[in-house]
Amino acid sequence: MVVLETAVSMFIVTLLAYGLYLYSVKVTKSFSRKTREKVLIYACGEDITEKEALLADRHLYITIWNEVFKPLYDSLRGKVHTGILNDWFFWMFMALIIAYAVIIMLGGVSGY
Amino acid sequence: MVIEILKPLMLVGETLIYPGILFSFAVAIFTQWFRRKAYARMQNRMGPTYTGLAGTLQPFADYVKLFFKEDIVVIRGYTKLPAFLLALAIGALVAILLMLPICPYSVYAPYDIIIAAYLLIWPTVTLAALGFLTPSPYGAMGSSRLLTLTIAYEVAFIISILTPVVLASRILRAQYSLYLTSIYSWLLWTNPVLIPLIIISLLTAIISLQCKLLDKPFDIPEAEQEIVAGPFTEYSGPKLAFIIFIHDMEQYVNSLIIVFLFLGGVAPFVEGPLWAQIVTVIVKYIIVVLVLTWIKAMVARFRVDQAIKMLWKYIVPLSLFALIVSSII
Repeated sequence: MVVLETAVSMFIVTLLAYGLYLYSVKVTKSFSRKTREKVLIYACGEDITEKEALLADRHLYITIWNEVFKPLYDSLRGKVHTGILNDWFFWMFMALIIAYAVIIMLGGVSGY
Repeated sequence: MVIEILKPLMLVGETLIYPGILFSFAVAIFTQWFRRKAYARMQNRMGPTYTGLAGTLQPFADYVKLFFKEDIVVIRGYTKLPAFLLALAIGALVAILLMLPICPYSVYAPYDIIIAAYLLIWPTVTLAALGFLTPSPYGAMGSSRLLTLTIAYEVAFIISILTPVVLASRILRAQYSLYLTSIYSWLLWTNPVLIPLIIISLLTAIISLQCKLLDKPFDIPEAEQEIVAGPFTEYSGPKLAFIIFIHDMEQYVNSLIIVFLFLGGVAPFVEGPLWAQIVTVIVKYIIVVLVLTWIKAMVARFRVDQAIKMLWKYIVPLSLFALIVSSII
């Protein structure tokens, strides 16, 4: 029920807000003048083409990759990836223990 | 029977009037005015003074001005999709208000904290999407930075608000409900063992909220000296009014969540008169807003890597520690 009630509430407000937006556009249409300068992409005075301004979807998470995962990967590679087989076994063993711990914490696997 | 028939009408009334959109608009105006005034005084400035008594109507004047300005859409930019996403975000924030005790007939159920967490993330997703709906290098850069911060501060904020929910549910049978936890949260302060956990999660919630509101030191996605206004660079008119309104609403809703979950809501007037309860909530709300403004005025902006390091090294582990301990004791 709570999902339905919040969804109805969200739906009503969305309709109202979107209606207000459409009303604003309708009202301002009478006195607004479309000019070429208005619709140009803002680039602090520099010339920029549409193609340069449009970014590919893969760039969406580029900051996450560069700022979070790459330094993490670099530091992990230095510490974990030693090339010694025993180290590899140790990390696999640790991963197994963590997996078991998580399964046990979640209530274990029910038997027959 | 009559109540059952009137329930849908009450829901519509709550959504549109109190604590819904109309009341939220009034609180958003007050909050924006209060923050601008407090921020200005901390910087030895006057803040808004011209419109209304002590500039109280300045945010209202700003909203009206923006609302009746032309909606300029740049070449190859989306026209209606950003407006629809912004409307959805406002809807999500109003829906959360119905789950808090300020609502006369609150909406609640066991485990509704999951729905609250889902609704809390909506505005962030909307603001991040805005930068990609216009062809702007600043927009894309700002959205990318916002998404980077999101993976840290949303995690911290949700974990922080889960701590009192878990404690109240395990000890006081709050059933993992936002509303029931808000009602019982003041009892957590009566147990000396739980107080450190509440304080830790309160601190992490406030810092992650500062990041959620994109205020200093976490205003990296809209750092004006570097990327103009980030995801909002190409927006004007009613869309910009909606963006500012969402910011004010986020401030209002999240601060109220902190008041009810961490600061005990209406306590110490749980059994007291209604006016005393209302005044208590208002005072606590103003204190939360003042603390957030104080942090904003006190510190300089972080770089992206500094912010991420701070959030992942200190804030997330601290909030996680409080949550794990609260789920064990």
